[in-house]
Amino acid sequence: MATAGDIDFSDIQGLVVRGYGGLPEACYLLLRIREREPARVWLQARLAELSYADNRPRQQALNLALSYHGLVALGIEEEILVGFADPFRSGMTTPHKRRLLGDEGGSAPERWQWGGPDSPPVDILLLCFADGRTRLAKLLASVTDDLDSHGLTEVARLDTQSLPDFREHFGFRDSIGQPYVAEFDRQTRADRHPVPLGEFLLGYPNGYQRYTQRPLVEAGLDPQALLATDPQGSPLRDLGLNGSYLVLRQLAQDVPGFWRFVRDQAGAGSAVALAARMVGRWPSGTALVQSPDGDVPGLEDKDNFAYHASDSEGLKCPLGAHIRRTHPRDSLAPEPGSDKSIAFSNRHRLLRRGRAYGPPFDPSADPVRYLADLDREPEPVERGLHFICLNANIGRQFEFVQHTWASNPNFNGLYRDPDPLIGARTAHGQRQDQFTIQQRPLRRQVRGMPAFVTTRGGGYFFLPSRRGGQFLAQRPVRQRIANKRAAD
Amino acid sequence: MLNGLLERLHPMPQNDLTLRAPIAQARETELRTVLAEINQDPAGNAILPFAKHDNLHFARLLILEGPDHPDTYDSSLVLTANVDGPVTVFLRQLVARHAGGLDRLYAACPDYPGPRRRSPGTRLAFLQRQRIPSQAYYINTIGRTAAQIRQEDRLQQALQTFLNGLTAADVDSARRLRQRVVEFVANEPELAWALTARAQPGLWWRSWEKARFAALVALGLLIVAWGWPVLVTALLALRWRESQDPELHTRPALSRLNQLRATEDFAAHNPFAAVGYVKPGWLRQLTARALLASAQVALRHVFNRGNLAGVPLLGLDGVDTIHFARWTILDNGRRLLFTSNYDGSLESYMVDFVDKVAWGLNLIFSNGVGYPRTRWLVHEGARHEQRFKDYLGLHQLINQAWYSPYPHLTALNIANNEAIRDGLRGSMSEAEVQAWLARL
Repeated sequence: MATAGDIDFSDIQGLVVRGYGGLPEACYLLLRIREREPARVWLQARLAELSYADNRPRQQALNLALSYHGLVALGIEEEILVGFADPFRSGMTTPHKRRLLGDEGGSAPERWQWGGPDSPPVDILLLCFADGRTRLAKLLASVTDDLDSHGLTEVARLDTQSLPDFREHFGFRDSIGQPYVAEFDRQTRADRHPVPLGEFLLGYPNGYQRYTQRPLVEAGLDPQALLATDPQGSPLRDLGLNGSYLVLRQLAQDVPGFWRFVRDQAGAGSAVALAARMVGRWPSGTALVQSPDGDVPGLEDKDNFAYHASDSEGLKCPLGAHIRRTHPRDSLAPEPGSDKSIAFSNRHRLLRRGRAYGPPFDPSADPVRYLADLDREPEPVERGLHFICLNANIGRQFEFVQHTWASNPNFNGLYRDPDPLIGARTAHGQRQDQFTIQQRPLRRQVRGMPAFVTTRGGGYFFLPSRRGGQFLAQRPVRQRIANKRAAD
Repeated sequence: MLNGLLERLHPMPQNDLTLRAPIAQARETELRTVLAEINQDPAGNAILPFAKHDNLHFARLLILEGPDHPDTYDSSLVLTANVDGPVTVFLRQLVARHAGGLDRLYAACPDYPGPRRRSPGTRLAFLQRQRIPSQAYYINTIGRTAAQIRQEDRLQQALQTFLNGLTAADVDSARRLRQRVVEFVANEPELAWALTARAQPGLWWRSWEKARFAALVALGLLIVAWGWPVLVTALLALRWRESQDPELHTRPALSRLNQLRATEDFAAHNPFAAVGYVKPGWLRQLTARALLASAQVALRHVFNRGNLAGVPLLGLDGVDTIHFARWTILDNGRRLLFTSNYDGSLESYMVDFVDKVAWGLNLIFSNGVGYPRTRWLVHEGARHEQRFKDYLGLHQLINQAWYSPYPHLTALNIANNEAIRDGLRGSMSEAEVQAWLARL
């Protein structure tokens, strides 16, 4: 384990260590590079303004990530490009990735608002945060006023909406089960199993005590020595060090559809209880394993529980519930209940940094208020989650969680049960629309469950370190040499 | 000869068929078209409709390049199948039911009988000649037939429909609920079979298996007792060799990986195929063969109930997601072909390898050229996550056609369905009834 003293926090973008909870206003800008050289100038100017992990911004923050298409557009050398992770290079919309991520039917990339094959490519993702609307507007104005003259086009502007009590749109408190990274926390937490830093940041040992695949650069391609040397001791320079991969997905949520379905299945009086079983938590965030029979909003630590000893059969929290899939803690093989099982689970964690968008169905974001009038909206309203997660290995982390756990209808010995919230409703050539609630003597089963979440856009990005960003924004060495030759 | 006789006296319930037929270079393109047509609809295509065979679990067709590719063209068409009952019976079925289809499939293979010489006899003789043996063969659960799996799948689905039709008043006590389920099955002529015991290998067969295992263990002990100086020397020699053997450090081309991925994740399970060179020299050759032979004993006699390589006593974790797997030595020991059918995505399969059974993989695959470096044959190796995944990517083959008779079922589902059926009979304690109902 790296000790905090070895880590140069001023080299790590702030989003890695914090979600900027104190900056409730945020907007994500998606940009396309039309002309390389002016875009480079713009990029260099932005890099100087980014927020890094060594200080907590009080008023505003800016972070920046690049897509593979963006790296190509910047003219990064092929020999460097091949060092990036395969999923990042292939993107999110290959035929195989659609199957893997469940982006078919209504979620097919052809229908996406951005990031799909029929929309302009996204090269740069600029994440803007501020403490208030005015400041955010000012920040946005300052970063966008000279886009056109810098050979950049705004592809999309993803606004966000902060909801009361850290809830997401369905009305449940979100972002509780975050991985515990010891290096990021000021106080040590003996009651938590730390996830190795290398699971989220490149250039550090991962969950197998090894270094995750990352772009390394010949010294000759980095004559100014912008990059740090390879921590593994090779003569190469590490473009990955202190960087991470960022997954962005725009997930539209059908809030009245969700609650109408739940109410029709369970009746108005038990709707919240059924929805809680689908989520694995009560609206306050208290886990079903902690309190199976009713919500206890006051519970202090809503992340302090495991499954095996108290609920191996799923009688408290159903085996197919959303949080039991996306973070199975100690419930899966090998040896459920053991540290081995937790270590296994911890090799598939995501540092979530997303935010909701669109107006809440009710200003309170409270399911009880929702249920009071589910027909309040004459027209469907666009709302959902701009899902963002950071991980070092997209294939073993984000894609694995989405496919092997969430969308998998056969997860945990089940048959036709996808994740009730985010799982695809068709797979393996058939409908997958059940949700099973384990109970005695006989399980209860919800069937004919429609999709409540639809993918509207998405992409894989590289969130570079300070040094990595500077390296990527300069004119590539090869090109400089070529230009120099031409001039001579 | 002796093996054939033993096979007849003491047949295995499931058997592996591997056919390898050389292809005429000029006709490979045409063959690919035929394979693509089969893969359009593996169950019902006009050439080789696999669903016509109730005794077939999985089947695949792939084009395997020769050991000296690309210098010498020596590609062959490989067909693998996992069948219930003797392989010869299955081959006869193929010939009897799809003579025309076999003629089209093997038109690209020069050894196939010419149009005038074609008869059921010559076709069968051709198939028999192309057979190659596998040195180790994993069967998730020995004795569980494809017909049983499909039958129990129908039972499970019928029970789901029945249970969904019950009112709250019907679901009063566990015992009465079980009784209702049993009555439902008894009154359903289509399901009445479920109340009979499933066909299982008889006492005679099982005793023979036990005797066989005991004899092989005794043989193993004798070899260790008398041959330990040789074994220790060999082990030390291997330890030295493994520290010197070169590792592959290249990454597979992304375009190749995407080509492979394009054929995956259409069903609850996937086919995997990979081929690699065995490290040269008699020591590695002998080690590979000895380990495969030992693996075969363990697979047949120990890991034959759904948990591959799990030894709780030794703290070894098993894998319960593999339906069938086989290791086949090719080209006089120069290469090893591995094919399997596993649940989930390739990423989850590799994760299982790395996390749970790295030691077992290392034992066998560390005899392959370029495999990630091992220590004492079992340590490290596959634990080099990225290097191991790259190694697989560099050796993986595309299956041009693949058939699964139960594409929506995982190995765990299949085992659960069997336990549901078994639970329809006999008396149970309250706790057993509870546990059985939890399977529904």
